[in-house]
Amino acid sequence: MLKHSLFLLGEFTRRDFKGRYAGSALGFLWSFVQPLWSLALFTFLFSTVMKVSPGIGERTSNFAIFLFCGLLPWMAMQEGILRATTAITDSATLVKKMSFPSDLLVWAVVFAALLHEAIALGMFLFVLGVTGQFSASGLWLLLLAVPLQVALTAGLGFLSAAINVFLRDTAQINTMLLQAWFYLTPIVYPLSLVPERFRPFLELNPLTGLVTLYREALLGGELPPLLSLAPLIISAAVSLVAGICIFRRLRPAFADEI
Amino acid sequence: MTHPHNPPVVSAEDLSKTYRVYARPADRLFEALLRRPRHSAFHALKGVNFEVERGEGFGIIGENGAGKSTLLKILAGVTAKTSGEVRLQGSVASILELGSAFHPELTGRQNIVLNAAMLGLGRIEVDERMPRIIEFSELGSFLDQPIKTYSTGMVMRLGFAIATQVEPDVLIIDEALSVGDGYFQKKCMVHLKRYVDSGGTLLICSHALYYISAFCERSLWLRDGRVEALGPTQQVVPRYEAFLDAKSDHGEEAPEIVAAPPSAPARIDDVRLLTGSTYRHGRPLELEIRWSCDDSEMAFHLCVGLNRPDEVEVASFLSHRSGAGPWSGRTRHTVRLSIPELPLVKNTFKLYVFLLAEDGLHIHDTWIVEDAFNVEYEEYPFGIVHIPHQWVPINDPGSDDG
Repeated sequence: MLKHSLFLLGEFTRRDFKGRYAGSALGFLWSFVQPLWSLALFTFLFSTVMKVSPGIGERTSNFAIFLFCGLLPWMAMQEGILRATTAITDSATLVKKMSFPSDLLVWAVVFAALLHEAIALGMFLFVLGVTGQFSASGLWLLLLAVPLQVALTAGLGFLSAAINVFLRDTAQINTMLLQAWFYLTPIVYPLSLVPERFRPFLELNPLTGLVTLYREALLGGELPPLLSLAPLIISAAVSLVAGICIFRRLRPAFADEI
Repeated sequence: MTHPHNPPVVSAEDLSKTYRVYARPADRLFEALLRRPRHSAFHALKGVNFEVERGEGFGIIGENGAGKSTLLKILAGVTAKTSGEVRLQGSVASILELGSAFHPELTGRQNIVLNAAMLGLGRIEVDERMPRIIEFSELGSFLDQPIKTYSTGMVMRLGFAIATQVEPDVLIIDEALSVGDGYFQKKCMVHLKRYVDSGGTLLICSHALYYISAFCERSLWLRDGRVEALGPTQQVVPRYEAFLDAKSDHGEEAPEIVAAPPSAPARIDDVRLLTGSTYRHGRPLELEIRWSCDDSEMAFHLCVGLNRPDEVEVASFLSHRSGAGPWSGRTRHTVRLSIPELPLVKNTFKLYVFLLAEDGLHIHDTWIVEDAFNVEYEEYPFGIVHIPHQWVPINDPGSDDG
């Protein structure tokens, strides 16, 4: 049963990954182009124009490298959550006409997003290697960061996917919420630039922990204090459990409602 | 073919399904989460009971909206029942709509893997059956093209091929086989027949009562969500047909002719009455039918029906029953129907021409000639038909003259 689910999940992920770039000239090269484009724009805006620099206490003084460490998990989460939101409604005929575990549709887009991240990550590590800034000593932290990121993405994805079946406004609302979440996470700026009295709120943001974990992992750092990761760990666990429970509770009505 | 000691493979006990109708979509969300009713109800199935045994073909018939599709959807596990019990044993595959699982951007081959996986096959089984699916679909080099480049007919063929090669313990088919061209349809029917004969259990719902009669020993007639009749197909189907006939007599028009799909691979181009629009008793009647098709390999039969203006069927002429045809080997055909004499006395008649597939059942195209001909007479005739007869005076030896 599990074996068949994994096979089917693999096929769904492939369907999603291949289906997306079919017919485009650059094909899956887009998974390189898109992150580089964001990187270039944000670097120009925040580093060149607004003179943000990683500052003291960060592991790099290069803004582009600092930024990309945060962009990597962010882009995968954003893509995963937004595409999960419409995963069920986009596959209406499948859900109405075929009997299969529909949670695989959500897992498939989450893993497809992770696959995109892996490609961008490979490219990033290559650039670090070429410029002599690569350090493998912190990479093991990814073993902690990636599962937490997947749990958080999938949990919020399941919740949004289920609710979107009944309320199509969810997709619009999510776009706005994610926009806010991006700027309230220290991705394009270091936490040290945030005024003291707002800092505790940002430290409660689970993505602050995730972005920190990625920077430590990719720039030869070490495990951050566990307390600073608590919001991430708790929200990842809670959202995964709650997301799956709510999804399962609403699932029997999907075929009748879409 | 019923085995009284076999446990049923499929059974439904007091099965009901109520669709909830909501004023606003969000009401459903609140209700599902809070479990407090916010809907009005529509009862699609009301207390349905039946059992199907292993190796049995089981037909489900009924009018549109009678609950057939709802029943199959519950059995297939696509939608949830409201109350009652459903039990299914063994692997189940369902085809509620052909090609619904296809992704347009993926190639035929990739879609086979995806679709077969969704129907329950594992990687090894998919690899194992791939050659058979490919062979059955007859799509050849198209298999490495994205599905979006396929014609409707090709998509259907791929869907059929996967569905018929999956061969689960229980196969559920909703109407899916009444589409596609005659040749391929026949191929699928042969395959399904073999599937049932070799111990597979088939549940099929169709408006084409011919399929039900061909595959199913027993049938269930659903009417407004309830079981109207359940039993041997030879008994249930005639009762249902009688019900439909009675209904159409009451002014409600039952659709009698299945219109050809727009992608029909063969169509009637012209129907001409060579003997003109007036008919005089004793003369021959000749009808010329021209049609064309995409593929010269296709074989055809013809059926001509002669109806009175009030749609009473007066006569029918079927080539496959007269030992003529099937006609094939070309893309343009002309066939003449010669009737030496018609026994009609008066009235105007209407002609129905059906272009049939090789099996004499599937209709490729229909051509109707309203007011085809008028029967001329000299003195007003009584009755409907001429019946050859003689008047003979009898010279009885016991009469007055003797």
